[in-house]
Amino acid sequence: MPRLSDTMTDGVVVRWLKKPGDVVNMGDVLAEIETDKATMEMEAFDEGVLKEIYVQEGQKIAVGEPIALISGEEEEPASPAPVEKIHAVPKRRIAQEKARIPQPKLAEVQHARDTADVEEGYSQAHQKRVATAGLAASSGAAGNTTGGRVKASPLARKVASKMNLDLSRIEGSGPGGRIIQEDVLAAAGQKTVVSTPSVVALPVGSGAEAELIPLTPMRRVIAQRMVESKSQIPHFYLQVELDAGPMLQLRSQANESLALSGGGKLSINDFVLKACVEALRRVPAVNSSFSDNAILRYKHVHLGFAVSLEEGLITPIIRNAENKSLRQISAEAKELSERARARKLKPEEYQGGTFTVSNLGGFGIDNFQAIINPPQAAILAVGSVIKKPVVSSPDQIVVGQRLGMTLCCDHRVVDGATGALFLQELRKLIENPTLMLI
Amino acid sequence: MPDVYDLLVVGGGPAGYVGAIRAAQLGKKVACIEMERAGGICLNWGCIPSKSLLRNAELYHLLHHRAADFGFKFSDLSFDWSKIISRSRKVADQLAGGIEFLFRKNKVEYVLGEGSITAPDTVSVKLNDGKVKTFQGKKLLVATGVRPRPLPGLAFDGNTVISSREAMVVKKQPASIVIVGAGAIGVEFAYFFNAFGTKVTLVEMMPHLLPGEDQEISEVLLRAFSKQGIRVRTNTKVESGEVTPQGIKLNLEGPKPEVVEADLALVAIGVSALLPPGLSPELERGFVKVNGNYETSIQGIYAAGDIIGPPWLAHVAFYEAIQAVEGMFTDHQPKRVTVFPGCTYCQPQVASIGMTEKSAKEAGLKFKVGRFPFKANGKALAVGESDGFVKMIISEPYGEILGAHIIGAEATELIAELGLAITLEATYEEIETTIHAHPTLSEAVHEASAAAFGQAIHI
Repeated sequence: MPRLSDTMTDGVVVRWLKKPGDVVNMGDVLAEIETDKATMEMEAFDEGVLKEIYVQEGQKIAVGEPIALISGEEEEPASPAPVEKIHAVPKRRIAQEKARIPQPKLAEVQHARDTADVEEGYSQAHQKRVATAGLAASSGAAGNTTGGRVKASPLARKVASKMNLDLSRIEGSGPGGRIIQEDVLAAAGQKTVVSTPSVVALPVGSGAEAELIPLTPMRRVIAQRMVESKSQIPHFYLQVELDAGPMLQLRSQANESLALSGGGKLSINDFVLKACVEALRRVPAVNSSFSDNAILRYKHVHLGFAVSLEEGLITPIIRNAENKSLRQISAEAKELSERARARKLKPEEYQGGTFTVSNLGGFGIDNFQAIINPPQAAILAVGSVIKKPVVSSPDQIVVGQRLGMTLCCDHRVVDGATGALFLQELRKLIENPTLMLI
Repeated sequence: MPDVYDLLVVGGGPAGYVGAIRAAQLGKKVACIEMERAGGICLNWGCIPSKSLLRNAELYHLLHHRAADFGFKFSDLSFDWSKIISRSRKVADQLAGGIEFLFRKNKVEYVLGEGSITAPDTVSVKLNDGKVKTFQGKKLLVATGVRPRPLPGLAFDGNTVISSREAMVVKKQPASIVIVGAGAIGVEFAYFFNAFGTKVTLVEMMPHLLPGEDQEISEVLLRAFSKQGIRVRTNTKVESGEVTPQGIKLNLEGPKPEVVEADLALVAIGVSALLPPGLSPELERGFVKVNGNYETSIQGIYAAGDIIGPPWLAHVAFYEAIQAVEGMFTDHQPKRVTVFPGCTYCQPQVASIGMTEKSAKEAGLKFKVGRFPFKANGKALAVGESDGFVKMIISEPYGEILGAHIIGAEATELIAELGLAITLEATYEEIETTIHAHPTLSEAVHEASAAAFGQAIHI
């Protein structure tokens, strides 16, 4: 299965246009392949007779797996027939030395097909007769090794040697098909040298004096997860400003009566947490995760909330929050925060959240954007309540109590409209807080 | 029914004439519509004639101030201002004639007149004789360039408040001039007028001369200019100005507020797009917005050169026009400009390519800096041009050239090697292992590369 688009990882054979026994000429359309983007035609890169079809119509197969067999006509009578597979020549794939087969015999080829190595490697000789569906020019041998000389820039050579990549397998995009650094990096499957989704040490500014602060395990995890999140999740942000007046009023009323009964005070964040739980119940698409084959929509709301610590931060989880009242949520949040600050949380108390709230209102931040805590699909960034002039319904300017918040979403799971719907529900709840009590 | 052209090019400057010629070379039927004279600002009112003036300035400065160093004595060294100007015009005339010849040679139809785009495939031209002629083209390339931007509140009047165009043909040498803007144009004219004894004040809003250059280079240039007697006022804005019977009076606001009076004010603070009349494609920051194929928001209308925004450089325009035209008529995938050299022809000359030290730092890159002064270069000492240095920004760990910055004699010629190095993705080792002729100024490039890794020999 050839790679027909940059993001393609597998393809479905929609229809075979040749059947076994057909004579195939170079450029003939062999099959129609459905990729993640579109249905495309797969052309033969060589001529011969289509011997065998491995993948039936409608079947899905990973890039790099063989899908059919073409034999060279002139070689057919020989025994054993040197049969060539229509094998993947994924763009810029690097063959591994260990899988090289100097002179492929049928048995070896078939054996190789059954092993995991087959995707990675096939020999130079083998490559000559491979059908690559529109990638003809991209095979390394065709592109760069005229007369045995690989055209590559000095930088590309150095990077390739450092990464242990074979330049003859890389397609060049520079002038005259010359391999440049970008081609090597693309072949290595990474965009730039420094963007590996692990903890990357940034260069130290030359001459700047700095104190060396060793990474704590927590700092390391934060670094790793945030890089992973920000580099892999397509974030987008929806920002709203809500009327917090009714909520503040209800809160002071509630706190007055709670004070009499000796109960703990409710914070603004408690109301926000409760409102989120209810809004997530109403818009469950936000309470989800992206996985490779599916979207996981969670049945329960395990609500995380960020607690800042001296050495970093942690997000304790209120489990099954959809079944809990405002007071329960408030009490649990208080208790979890205290234990978080004392570093006494058990793993199950900070792992497995389905949604997170990060509140920087206490620090005087009006509104901000947060980084999603993977594998969750969204995080709500909450600012502080500030007094500002607002235009009320009969076009009067009045003093409003405004609460800014930003929903940061993973676009693979949550679309703009879905996120907006969640915020609409959240607005209803915050602006009519008695709904939270029902 | 008029003939249909494959390509109509509106504007005959560096982007326009190059685009027209390349399309003709590809066998296309092309017309190039130019309002004034082929060659554009570059050839008629910019790069070329100014280099002629600067050559005069350089020679005069050498003879006037440094003759004794070389053992020359003049009892009566003088110059003829009008000849200095007319030599520059002759050079421009000669080259403009050359472009017309190239048009004929390549069978590009050269149309003199003002073109307006009346439809995505139609250009109506008001010919210089007053008649209107309509041209139809399958594709259009807009390359109408830019014009100098006036200082707010101080319009160009062509006599006292002038742009580079008038500065190039000033009839009488001014006794004093104030130049607003210390980009390449401002800096070059400052050097030119000062060399002949005009009292020059150079005003720049940003903290450095040539604000786009590496800061170290700007600082060395500032020292050189101050030594030459140019009054430089950086971090300074023109608050207001008025034309007086004697000339111009400008109120400067900056670390040292002052009132500057001069015969002339040359305003070189930037440029604005010169759009052809008719259909107007979408703009971005005042310049025509194009996609990766140089196509504007109107299908079939392409644009290249200064009109699509900075950098406003003739060599960038050449490149863009060729990319655009090859994209239109061949299966070439056009490329946008990424790395390009920038040159300023005052003395000492300034030339650079790629990233400055600051921009490499801001990009978070890991790099080393190599420097080599011309004082330690034998050729520079022999020819008496030992001011300046070469600075290389070299990436780690692989050693590719991120940027190069040169100030000194022939800097603008020396930069070519580094342009090639960057295009070829050469690393410092390829430069180091290339034998550079001795004695040449180019050895300084060689040594600066080695210096980044502590391997320079002559310092």
